[in-house]
Amino acid sequence: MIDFILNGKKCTSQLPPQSRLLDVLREEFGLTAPKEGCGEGECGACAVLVDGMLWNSCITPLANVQGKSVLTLEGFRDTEKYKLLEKCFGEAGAVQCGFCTPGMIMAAEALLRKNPHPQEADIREAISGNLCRCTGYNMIIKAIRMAAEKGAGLW
Amino acid sequence: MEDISKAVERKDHRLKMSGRAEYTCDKRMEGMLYSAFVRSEIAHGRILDIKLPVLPEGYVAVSGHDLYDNHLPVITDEHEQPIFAIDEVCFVGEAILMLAGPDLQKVRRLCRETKVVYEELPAVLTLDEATETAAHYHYHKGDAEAAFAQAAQVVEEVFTTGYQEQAYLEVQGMVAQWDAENRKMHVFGSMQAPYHVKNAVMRVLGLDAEHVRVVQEVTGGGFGGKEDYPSLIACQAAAAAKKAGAPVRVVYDRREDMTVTTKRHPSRVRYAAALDAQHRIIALKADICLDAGAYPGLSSVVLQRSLNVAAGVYKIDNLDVDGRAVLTHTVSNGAFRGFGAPQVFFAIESLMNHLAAKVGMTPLAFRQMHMVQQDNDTVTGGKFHYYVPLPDLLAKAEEMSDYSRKYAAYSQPQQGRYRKGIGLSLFMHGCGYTGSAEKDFLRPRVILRKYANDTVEILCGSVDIGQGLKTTFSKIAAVVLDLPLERVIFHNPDTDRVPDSGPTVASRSIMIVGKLVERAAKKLKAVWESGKEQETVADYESPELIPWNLAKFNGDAYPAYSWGVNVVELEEDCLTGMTKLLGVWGVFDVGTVIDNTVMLGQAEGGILQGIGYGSMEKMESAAGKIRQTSFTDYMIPTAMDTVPNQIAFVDNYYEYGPFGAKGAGELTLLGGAPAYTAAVEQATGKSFHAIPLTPERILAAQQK
Amino acid sequence: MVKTYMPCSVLEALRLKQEAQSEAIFVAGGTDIMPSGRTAPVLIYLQGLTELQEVSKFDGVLRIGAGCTYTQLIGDERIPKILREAMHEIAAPAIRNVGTIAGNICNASPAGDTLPLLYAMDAVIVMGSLDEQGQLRTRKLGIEAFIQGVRKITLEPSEMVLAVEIPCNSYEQMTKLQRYKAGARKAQAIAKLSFAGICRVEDDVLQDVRLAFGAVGATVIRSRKLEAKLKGLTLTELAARRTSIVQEYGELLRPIDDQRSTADYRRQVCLNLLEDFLSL
Repeated sequence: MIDFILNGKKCTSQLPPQSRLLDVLREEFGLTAPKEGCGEGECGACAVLVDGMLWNSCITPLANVQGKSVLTLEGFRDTEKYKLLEKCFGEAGAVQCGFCTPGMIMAAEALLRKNPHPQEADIREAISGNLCRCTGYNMIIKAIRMAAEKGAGLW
Repeated sequence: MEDISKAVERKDHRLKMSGRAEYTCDKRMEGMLYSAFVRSEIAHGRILDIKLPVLPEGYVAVSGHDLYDNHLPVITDEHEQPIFAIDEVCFVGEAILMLAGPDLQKVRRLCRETKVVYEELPAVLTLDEATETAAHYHYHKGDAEAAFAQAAQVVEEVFTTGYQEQAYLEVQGMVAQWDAENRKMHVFGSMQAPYHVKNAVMRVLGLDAEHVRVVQEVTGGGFGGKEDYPSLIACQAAAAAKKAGAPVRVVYDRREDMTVTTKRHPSRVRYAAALDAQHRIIALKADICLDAGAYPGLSSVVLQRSLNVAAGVYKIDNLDVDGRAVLTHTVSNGAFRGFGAPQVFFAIESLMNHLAAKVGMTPLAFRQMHMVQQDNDTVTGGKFHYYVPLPDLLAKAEEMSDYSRKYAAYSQPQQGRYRKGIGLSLFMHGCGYTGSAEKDFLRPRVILRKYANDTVEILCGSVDIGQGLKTTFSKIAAVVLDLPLERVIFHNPDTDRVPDSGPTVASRSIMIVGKLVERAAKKLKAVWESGKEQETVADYESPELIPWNLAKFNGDAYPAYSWGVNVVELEEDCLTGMTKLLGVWGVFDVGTVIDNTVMLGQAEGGILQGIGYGSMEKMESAAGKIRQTSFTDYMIPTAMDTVPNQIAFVDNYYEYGPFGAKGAGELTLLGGAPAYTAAVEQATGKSFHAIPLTPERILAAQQK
Repeated sequence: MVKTYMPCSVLEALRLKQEAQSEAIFVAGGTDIMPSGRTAPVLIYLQGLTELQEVSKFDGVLRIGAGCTYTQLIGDERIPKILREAMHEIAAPAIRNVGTIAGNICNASPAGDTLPLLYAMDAVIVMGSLDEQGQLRTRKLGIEAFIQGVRKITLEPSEMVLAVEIPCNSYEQMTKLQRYKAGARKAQAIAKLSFAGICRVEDDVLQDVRLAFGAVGATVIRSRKLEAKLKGLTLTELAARRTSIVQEYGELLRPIDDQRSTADYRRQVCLNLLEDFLSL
């Protein structure tokens, strides 16, 4: 049995340690924000933060989060930082079909935690593992830059 | 709300942003079964035997024998795709059986344990080998033969294009639930055309309209890939749900999706151009061939659009155009944003560049000599009834990109490892269905329902698949009715509640259905009584057009056209053939823009799909098998492959669109590939005739 | 039924491996194993082993713990800049955050992104196992000997990789270090081919040179024989022989056609990059 912190709460998974973290989050804990887009670590739709770092949950064995803290969009969406991102993504038109969005937000959060004043190239790199087929990325990049500019002190 | 173009936050923004939006994969139902497929492993053969393992209790196998009618209705009655192959398999990945049960892993294992015995039959695997046609059209204009006889110069070129995969981030999925008591089938899923799905399920299960209900779930992108294919999955899921007496869910995995779902048709386009002594193209012959794959599906209508843009945006007096869609034993191809036009725009725009070079003119000047204008005839004897703003688009593109100066600079000999180039493309998109389908078959309808609390619900079968339709439709109603946007409601369509407004395809939603929203709103405004429940209806009314005759391929193919110009500037590394984008520009006329940010999103996404198509999105079929079946092997651009695009819209009010709007979704994809390849041609000094123009192709030409 | 273990120390991990032998596989970041669907009766998860995540530089040798992630190493200034650049071009942040250097080596893909540089830098693989007394026993092997083919490595069933050692003189005293990865896009791409070139020129003489090519054969290709021929050449002599040297390398490369690229392209780009590198 694997113990970890999920969105701030201690929890224990009954699934085998070799299970994909994505399945644990979706099937066992009923979360829906992490999405399966490819199942092989290429698209980032399943991305979550583990101890503050961006991980692809679809290729993470459950064993690897033993004792760690896992954050999904469900555990982030009530924060001030999220609210600012939500506003900026809305203004920039950064969400179309929405399927890549939860992973994209986690990638943005991972970036801003580490680098509150990113340059455009930093943002491109930070979301380079998150595929989006709708927006062509530029509107997402603009949204993250807006959030960084308006979010003085939040990150 | 006054200015319709002023951007608003999307109606569904907060739901999607917060991860609360429920997609098909998020749907849970009491007792729901999971499913997997037994699929053909060979390209063509007869099924001799199927050895099914013993199924545990609670597990079912569904085959074509379980259906009332095993054929998927798409367009014609011929060559229709079976829901499940029974005697013969015609491509690798064709569904033979579906197994459903409570444990997905077990279902998958049972599928693997099922053995199918085949007698292999000869397979036709490429477009060049194919002989059987799924569709064939021909048209001519003027007298091409006579013009060729007088030509000062004749140039012949052949262009080829590969597959393109829609690569929507959400894979295909459907959930079906059989209500045995009321003998009613409920289907929920990811789709562009709820009424197509409904009609298919009705036919396949032998149910009437009262007994099939289809509900669109939040849909994670479509790009054409969810136009006809969801009907197939819905029938399979519905058959299983009925047989099992439990809800059945189908959610593909990515590799399965990429192996079996429809893609953009690979093509071969042969051109012969006749030029006179003044460098004018006096005649053009085109022979267009699309690889339909195993079943025709939408190929005939895709082909019609290819033929309609055979001369691009140019006025050429003498034309002879022939087009075929041929059948091969490979995965079926279907709708993808642009629908037959991207292949031909790559070909015609490349041809224009090559002809310009031959006669010693710049690509721009040569194009300007040939551009169509208002009141010119279309290739099929229709008319460009409205102002053609190509000169305005070009002027804007020139101002933004400095194209001509850069073109001249990069035409000078370049030294060193990295060489620059800049490319231009001109294109148009006929808005809505080809021909008279809107009035003959679709007859779309929209209902506005006003509740006692003075909120208004839009009832129609059009869907938001990410393109922003909930927002744009709501804005149209809100502005007409002078209501705040939150007082206009748009729920995901449920065929029990909404009329058929046609599928969400063909850049028709805003122009055709949006117009119905506008008209219904005007009617409602005229009778508005606060606090009272009211309803208004708008049905399609066709503008006056030159009648379309499909057999003769003649008349107005489209009521209106949207126009575009792309410029791509890049740098090529002559050691590796790899490129780096330096700038991308897009100028479009889509009539009035209904929402600046929504439209920008269409432009940004469309341009990148177009550049991806022209550059890196390689998908090949080898021995009947798709070679790139994953996001690891099929390359769509990442955030690091793009640059900040500069995009502008030129206002050109269209009288039959809501607030003056025309079609917008597909247009934006068309120019990326030809502008990209033109830039590579300038950087390398080589001519290319195939996309995707990969580094492999670039370097091979350079090393020669 | 799969058995899984999460040992807390290297010794414990080795005890588990010794017991299970080839029944067991190690899993670090999981970025290769998870998508491949590969499994084994016994899975030993190594991510908790901080012992394997250390970097040290001592006595002219840079030692990188097997479990160091790319992200960790990219941020560590003791790691040669060029190797950090190579890691920076691997996949995308979410992969770099968990993928490890030993994982890249043990996966033994011809397209492994760190491999051409590690070959060129004469990297040595440090392996551990338990002796009869249950004490740690180590052995070392050059990376060329360690990787034997596509997904084939010289690791005994009871062994594990502990570290990678790089002699500092293989990069610190060099005058030119170049590398290139040709991927189908600028992130999230498996190398179509890769190249690493390192050399030291003194007094217009090529004193040392190492050239390695990835994804053009079953393993990374490096020829000590051809390098020996190059060593000692003056730059003028090198310029005169460059074309023939490139041709000789052309005969060594064994690229294939696959879903990612073509044999011709792989060969040609490698040779173009080589020629460019040798233009000293």
